[in-house]
Amino acid sequence: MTAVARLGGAVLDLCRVVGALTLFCGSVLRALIPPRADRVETWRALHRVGVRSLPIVIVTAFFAGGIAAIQVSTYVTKFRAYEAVGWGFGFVTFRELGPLLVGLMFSGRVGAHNTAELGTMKVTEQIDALRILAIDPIHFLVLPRIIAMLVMMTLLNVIGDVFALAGGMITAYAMVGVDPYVFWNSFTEYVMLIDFVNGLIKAAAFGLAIGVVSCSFGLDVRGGAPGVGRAVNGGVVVSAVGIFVLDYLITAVMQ
Amino acid sequence: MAEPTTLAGFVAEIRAQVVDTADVARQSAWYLARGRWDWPAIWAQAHEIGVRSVFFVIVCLGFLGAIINLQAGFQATRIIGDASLIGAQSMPLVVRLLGPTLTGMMVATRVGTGIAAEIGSMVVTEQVDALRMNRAPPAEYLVKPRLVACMIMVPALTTIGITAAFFAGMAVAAFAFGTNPGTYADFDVVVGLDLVEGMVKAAAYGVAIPIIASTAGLRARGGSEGVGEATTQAVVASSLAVIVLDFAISGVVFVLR
Amino acid sequence: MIRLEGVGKAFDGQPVLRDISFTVPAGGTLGLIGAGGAGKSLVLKILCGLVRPDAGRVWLDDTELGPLSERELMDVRGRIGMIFQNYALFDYLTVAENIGFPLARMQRPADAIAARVQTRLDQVHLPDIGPRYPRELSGGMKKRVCLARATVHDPPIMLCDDPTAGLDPVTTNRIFRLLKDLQAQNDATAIIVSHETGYLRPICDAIALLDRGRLVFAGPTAEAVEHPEVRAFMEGEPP
Ligand SMILES: Nc1ncnc2c1ncn2[C@@H]1O[C@H](COP(=O)(O)OP(=O)(O)OP(=O)(O)O)[C@@H](O)[C@H]1O
Ligand SMILES: [Mg+2]
Repeated sequence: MTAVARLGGAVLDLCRVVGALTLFCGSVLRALIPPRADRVETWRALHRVGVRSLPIVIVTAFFAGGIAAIQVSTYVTKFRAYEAVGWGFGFVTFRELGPLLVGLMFSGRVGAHNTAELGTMKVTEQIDALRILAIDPIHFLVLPRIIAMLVMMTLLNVIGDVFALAGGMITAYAMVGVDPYVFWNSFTEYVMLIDFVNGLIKAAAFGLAIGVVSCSFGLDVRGGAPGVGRAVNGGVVVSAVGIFVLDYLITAVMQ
Repeated sequence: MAEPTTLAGFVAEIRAQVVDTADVARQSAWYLARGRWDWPAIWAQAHEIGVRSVFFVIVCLGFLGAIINLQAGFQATRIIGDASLIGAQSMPLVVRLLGPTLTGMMVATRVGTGIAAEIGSMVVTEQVDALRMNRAPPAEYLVKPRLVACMIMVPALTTIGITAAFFAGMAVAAFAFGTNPGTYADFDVVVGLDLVEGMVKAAAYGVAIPIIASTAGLRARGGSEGVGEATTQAVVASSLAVIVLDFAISGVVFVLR
Repeated sequence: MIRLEGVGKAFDGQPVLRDISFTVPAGGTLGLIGAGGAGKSLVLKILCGLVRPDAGRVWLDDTELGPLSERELMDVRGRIGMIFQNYALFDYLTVAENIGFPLARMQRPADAIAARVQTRLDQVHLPDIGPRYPRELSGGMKKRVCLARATVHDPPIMLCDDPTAGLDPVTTNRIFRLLKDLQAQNDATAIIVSHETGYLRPICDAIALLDRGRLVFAGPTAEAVEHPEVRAFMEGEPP
């Protein structure tokens, strides 16, 4: 294949993905008026998404906090500005590193699982079985999952912030010798509500994007077990790109 | 492999996963030292892993560079009223931390799932048993080419990703804050140690991701559900490994500094 | 010679095989029968060391498998030709590459491999399909390719897991004849798992019946057809 043909193929693929996602968003939006998500399914989805991702989010956030503390300390020790550790840390973690790493982890844990689950239902014709029972898969399967991911990603980000703070304080104390009091004071003094809210908005947007993308890829599966594998692969890739693009847009708008 | 529902089940599952990963790592090390070098297979994997991820890495890391410079620029204009130094402020962070680690996460996402899906499909269709029947141990025949390819390609992708972040950041600095590209690129803050730290991380991820993802694939059981389960396990475990390795290497370099 | 002594295996605490013992003398043919899930495939995988038993001992000729490491097992497996129940053909390799795979891993020269592969393709009456991929073949063609791959290196031991599942009578007959020919050609010892008891009887020296992980009977074919449980199974009477 020549380079031109390959480039053309890539552009066509991109158009196909964007087109499919747009159509899918359309059908999800239509299902929202009037809102008719299956209530029982929504509760179950919330429960499953939360249980499934809580441990991984805690671990990720804790280490993300530790990493941020070390990196910020590298700057801070250079300028002997120990009282700025908490500030630099909070800024980096709450606004960027926290939501970004938690979002990518969430996409891997929950999004990929969701694509695999819906994909398996599709290839084993369970989705068609639902249609025959006059149950709309969008109401019954898709909306509950998207709602669950949106809500849980936002809540988990709050929990993640707490654990990131713990990870940062412990690491700063153990490695740099920053007294936790100094850390806490500089943190509370300089880190503003807006940093926290900025992270929260990002988390909600990521949750929504992961929900839409993972459901769309799951319902698009064709061709048995390898098809499910391919869909999971494609879903996490598109989610990751979506996370970075949204992060950029929100950062640009929120200042 | 049903999802564990109790804490004890959860711990046992993680323990089994770690034991299996260590086993695959040990075997791959053995075959790396002594086994055959199947260059066509390594080349094919390098193409699959490297070439087909380039676009993805450039897009993601490009946006990352833009985001970081936006953040740095807004802070700099707010606090010191001058955004001319944002290149010097952001690039060390990109080289040391964000470049390698987010490239690593992207490779875990794009390549880790691919490896697990491919090997997992071979396991559930007994092709891996057929390999073991014919003097083709999976650690040598399947894992080794992917490992070698990742060891070369992850540092290469990281370099490309950092470059993408650099130029995207330069564009943002120029258009959003009017920073002269020459000024942006004029930093002597990226010292050798930063580069070493970034590349050590990239190399570590290049070793960890293929081993963890292959293990997830080799652990697959059952039909299409098993393959789906293996893919999720691969992306979660290898992303987590990236974060933990980042933490460990950052810590060691900080102490050395 | 193939010998099992007191072999047992459990998965997640559930015993799947219990106290299995039988011997197939060199050059002999054993028909292994039993209901679905009885453990037939598992016995074959234990025999080639793909699964390690929890209890008991296994011999292939004079080699005991138990103490061998995975790498040492590789050499032992070179003496075995295995036909997998679900084909297990490599889907990214052509038919010719599939059949030549065992020889390629033994690092034989390419032209010798090509010649041998063509011989086997002719023997299984599929002379022209070398360049095609497994996904383009019908079930019966795939089974014959499996047979060719399993015997391409002239193994002295053949393990065949349901070589005729889901095939029409003509193809079934043809595969059993091929199996017999290839076995005779190498003077091989064979175990054949099959539900086609009518075809098994004339080609097996001995029959073994598994029922939910237990060995109900193992002995010469003449005795087997007299044994009440074997007879009941063969005639399809519900237990
Ligand atoms: N890797 C494994 N993990 C868990 N259970 C297994 C495994 N392999 C086999 N089993 C179990 O062992 C039992 C025997 O399986 P086996 O495949 O040997 O049956 P079989 O006699 O070959 O059946 P069939 O005629 O349907 O092929 C089954 O209950 C199966 O669930
Ligand atoms: Mg079987």
